[in-house]
Amino acid sequence: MSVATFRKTILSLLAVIGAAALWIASLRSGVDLGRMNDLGLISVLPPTFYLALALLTASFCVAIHRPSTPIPLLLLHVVLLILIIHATPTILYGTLRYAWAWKHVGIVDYILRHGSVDPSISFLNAYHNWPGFFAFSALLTNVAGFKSALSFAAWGPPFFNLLDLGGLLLILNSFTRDYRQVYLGAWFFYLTNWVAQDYFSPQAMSYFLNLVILGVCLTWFRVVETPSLSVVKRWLLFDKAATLFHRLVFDDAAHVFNRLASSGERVDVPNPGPRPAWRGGLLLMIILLFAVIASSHQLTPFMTILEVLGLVVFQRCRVRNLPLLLTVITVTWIVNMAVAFLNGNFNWIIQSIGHMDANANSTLIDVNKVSHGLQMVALMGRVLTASACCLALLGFIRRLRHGYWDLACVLLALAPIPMLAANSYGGEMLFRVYFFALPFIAFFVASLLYPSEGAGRTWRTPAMAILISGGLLVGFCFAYYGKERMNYFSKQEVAASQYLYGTAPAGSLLVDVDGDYPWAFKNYERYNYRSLVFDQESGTQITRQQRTNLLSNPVAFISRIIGGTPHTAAYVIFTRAQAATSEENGYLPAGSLDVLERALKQSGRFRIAFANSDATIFILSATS
Amino acid sequence: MEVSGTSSSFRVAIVFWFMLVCPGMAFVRLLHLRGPIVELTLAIALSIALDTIVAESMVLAKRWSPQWGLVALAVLCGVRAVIQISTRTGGSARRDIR
Repeated sequence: MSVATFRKTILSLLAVIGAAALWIASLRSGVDLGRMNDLGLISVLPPTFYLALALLTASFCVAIHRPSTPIPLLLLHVVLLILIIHATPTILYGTLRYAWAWKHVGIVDYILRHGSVDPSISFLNAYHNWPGFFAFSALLTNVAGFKSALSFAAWGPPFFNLLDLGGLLLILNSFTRDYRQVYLGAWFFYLTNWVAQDYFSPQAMSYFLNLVILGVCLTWFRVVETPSLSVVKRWLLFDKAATLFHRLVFDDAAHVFNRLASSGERVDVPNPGPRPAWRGGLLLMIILLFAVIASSHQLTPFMTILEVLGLVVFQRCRVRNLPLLLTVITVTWIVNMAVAFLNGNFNWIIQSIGHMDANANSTLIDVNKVSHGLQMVALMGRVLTASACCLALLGFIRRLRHGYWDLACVLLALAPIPMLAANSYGGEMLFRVYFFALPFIAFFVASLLYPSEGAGRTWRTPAMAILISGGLLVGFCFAYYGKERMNYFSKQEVAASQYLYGTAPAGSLLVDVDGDYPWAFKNYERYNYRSLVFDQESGTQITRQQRTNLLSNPVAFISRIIGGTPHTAAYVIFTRAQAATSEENGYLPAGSLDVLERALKQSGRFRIAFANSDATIFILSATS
Repeated sequence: MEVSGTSSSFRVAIVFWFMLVCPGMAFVRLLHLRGPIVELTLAIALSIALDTIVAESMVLAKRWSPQWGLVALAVLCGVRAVIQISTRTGGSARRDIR
């Protein structure tokens, strides 16, 4: 290494250390989380936090441009980016964020107490039918000597994002030998991954395993050369279908490609070579990983099957029977182990098949109903998604112009889309499709700047990289941190929930406002749950008339809900995060929870069982 | 063998290392992969898979026993040693996957 190169490397290293120091300073600056407004965490983070991100971004974009930069230094940049983005909430809050992550802790708690699951349980039964992740977490909790998964669950986002980095690098390295595309692709993945599916959850674990399966398929089971017609006939069995398929995919597409591209198809990653003796071991590994996905999560197996099917049908993966094998594993699990879930949910699953519009639209919030801050956050999320997709399209075209077809990457970016036609997945399908396509979108965004090894050598490229990264980072901070007033639970809110689940007798009815509080994390199956702003039967928001009734006569409305459910005791829970959620999502007007609390206090039918600055728990008086 | 109760940082670090890396690494090392990141990624993925299969088997069989779960994982690590020894004594050439 020359002196000049050594100096530049030291400068990059100092920039990383500087960014880390700025980040640590921002964490120690006494962030007042109670002051968060409807723009979430970005409204309270100090300037040093943004300076840390800016310095890291500039340093990374310059470092990746220099051919002499050691790879571990680039890796260090990406790792620090992950820590800054994903460990910040964990460190600042000191509590588990996301209400839905708390119920995952509750399923682990169930396994720890019962040593088994109950697939026919009436509440949260999907988790009992796909218990893989929870069983694993329970074993980890037990062996590490914890009483609850709460001891480590808050570290889910940084942990899973660091794991995903390994899978991403495996995949991206199979597309190109240009390290700039690989690390810039990983960098863009984290700048555009705002959908927050990385918390303590089955989907976070399954996503990592899915990335590894794809990485193994693309690295060691890759088909590089175009198959001949006779080979396609052997695979497809029907002569006419094989001829048509071969003509469309390999002749016509190749013709179009050759017209678009400046030269013939280039494949810059060497073929892995002859079949190694241990490739059987890798295939066995794929099967084991997939078996765990199939027994842990409802959606991911179908995404994996679609992705692998795309690779096999378009001759990018040599294990022809893999999609069939994965389908058999999935169906076997559902038919044998998830029958109880299917029995209760078969109708709506069938009904939602084919409704692509409805399934996609149910994901998007109605911006007319939400607060101004949340409107901005939702808009930024959409702009970020659209920008990533547009940049990826441009990157694909630029890569094509440089002679790279990247069919496998295109297939994997498109493979999750059919799932939109299958199910709304609780209104999340569009986000999940984007999430599964994101590694490949990120690769093409990186390709826009570095389409081939010889390209992107001028200093305009790092300037563009800084510009694009900066733009994506702004969108990311809004989209990812914008809902944190709702996702965050203060220590006071957690103390209230600890009190509730520590004292409420079995058979109690727990009435919340909108469910955004730490719930169901302990002895969850002993209680019944009701919400004030969601209809019990349909799960949809209450009507305008019902809302008027709730606000005009809260005691009667709440008493009716309590009276309609058998209970040994009845609690009504008001918390800071629920107030924020109701206000930001437009469930109730601002200040409504104060009105409800006052009404219960004055009614004489309820008494305060627990109260602190962020939470109040009422209990229905025994005499009423 | 008592496996639940109080927890120290040392114990947590050892347990997480053992459960998240060792069972998978035991087998991934046999594949002679190139690059520590690739090896570590595959080892963690396989470890999570093996841990999950062991834990899930106990849950579905209604035979929850963390100590036996640990024993099962330790045995899996031991199997690797046996395979490696038998491979070496068999005189087979070391094959790298590239």
